[in-house]
Amino acid sequence: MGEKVSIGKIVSVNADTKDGVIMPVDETDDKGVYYQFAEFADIDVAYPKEGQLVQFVKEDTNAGIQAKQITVLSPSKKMAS
Amino acid sequence: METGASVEATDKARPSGQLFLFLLFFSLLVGWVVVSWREHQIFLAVARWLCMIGLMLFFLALVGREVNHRVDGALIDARNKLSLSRLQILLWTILTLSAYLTIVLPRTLPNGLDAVTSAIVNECQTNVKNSGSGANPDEACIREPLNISFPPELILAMGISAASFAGSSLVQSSKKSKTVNIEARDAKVDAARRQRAITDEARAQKLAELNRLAQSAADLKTELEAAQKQFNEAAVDAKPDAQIKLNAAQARYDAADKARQKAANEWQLAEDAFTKADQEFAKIEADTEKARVESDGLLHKNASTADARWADLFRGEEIGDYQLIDMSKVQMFFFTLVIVFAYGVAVASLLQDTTALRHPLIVTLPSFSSSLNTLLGISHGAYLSVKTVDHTKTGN
Repeated sequence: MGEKVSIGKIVSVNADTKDGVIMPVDETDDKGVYYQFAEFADIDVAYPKEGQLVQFVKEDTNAGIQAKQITVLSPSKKMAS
Repeated sequence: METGASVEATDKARPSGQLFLFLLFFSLLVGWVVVSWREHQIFLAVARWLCMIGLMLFFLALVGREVNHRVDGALIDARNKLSLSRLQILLWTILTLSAYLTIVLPRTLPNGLDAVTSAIVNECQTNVKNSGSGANPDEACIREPLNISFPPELILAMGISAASFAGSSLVQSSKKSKTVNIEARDAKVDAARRQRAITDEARAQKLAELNRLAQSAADLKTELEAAQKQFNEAAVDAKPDAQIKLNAAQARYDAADKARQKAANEWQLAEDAFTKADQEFAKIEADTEKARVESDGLLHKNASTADARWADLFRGEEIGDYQLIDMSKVQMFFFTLVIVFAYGVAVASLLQDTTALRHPLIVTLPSFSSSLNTLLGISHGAYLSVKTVDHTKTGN
């Protein structure tokens, strides 16, 4: 079994710095905790958008826990890719 | 040195001073108009009457603005709503008093009346004798500039309006002492709360399913990547077997990805349903709280005079019907408006009759059909009857 995945929504995207923030939708587990993703390369679409539903893996990095291995699940995935 | 308190006191006193100045100004204006009527005949009688109505309306607007900070403030009642009863009282008061003043003021000025001729005196004395009132005809038939007679029908119409106003206040007073049964509203809040809980539960189930399928897809993706690696590293003779394994891994991942997408869509629908239920619950709860705050017994009240609307004249008064049109009010409004307008036209006709206005003994205001009063009475009766019935569930 691989790493534990979480479900969240992209709440902000910065196209210039190529990073953004994900908010988990599972309120019981991660209420009020946001996860930053540092590189668009971690996402399976070229241009992630705010509001998109994603699955991700939490990884401990030098900058703290970040979202990695992000897969966009919402229908707008096709439009974005 | 002026203290803060005295400054505040001066500020509070200022509006009253302005009101006094306004009143003084308009008193002087009225005096000027009255003198002009007689000395220079500037205005026609009807124009003078309209001018008088305008002055009274202006005075009311001033008082309303002073008390309730609105020009229509005189029509606002204790529940911060525009009142139909007040409107009627004011309509009749303005109509009759302005007509009275328009007629009586010129009569009190020198040469305001025609000479008392023997024919007029004889007619008057005959009438007094025939009336059987026992009055002395000689004393009753002298020059009388202030003798303006109000016909019984007019007094009755005004009485009906006044009685309706008083009756309305009594009914309202009784309803203020009752309490609203908020069970129905609370039940509505409970239903919305339950609906929110149901959708929340459904959302949580969909999320758990999505989590499970996402985890499965992630695991299968790892397997797929491993199969791909094995295929890439496999020797030539092992390639077909590795290809079969890779194809199988790809098929499992594709199926898992499809199931995950479906679960993601279903979760989104559940999330939307929850958001809608949550908003509905918040709205119903806020409405219930608002109704609690705006309740004055069974009656609905506005938070401030700024919330008073002209539509209040036609709306129900209780928590249970204040958002609906009260047809008895609409009917009474039209009856009153039509009768007041018709009577106004009759007064205007009288004001064009110089002979009648300068009659040395008496001027009689126009009378109207008593059946009209019956209709007015029925309208007010219906209004009060509807008002008496509770339109809201009581807690008593």
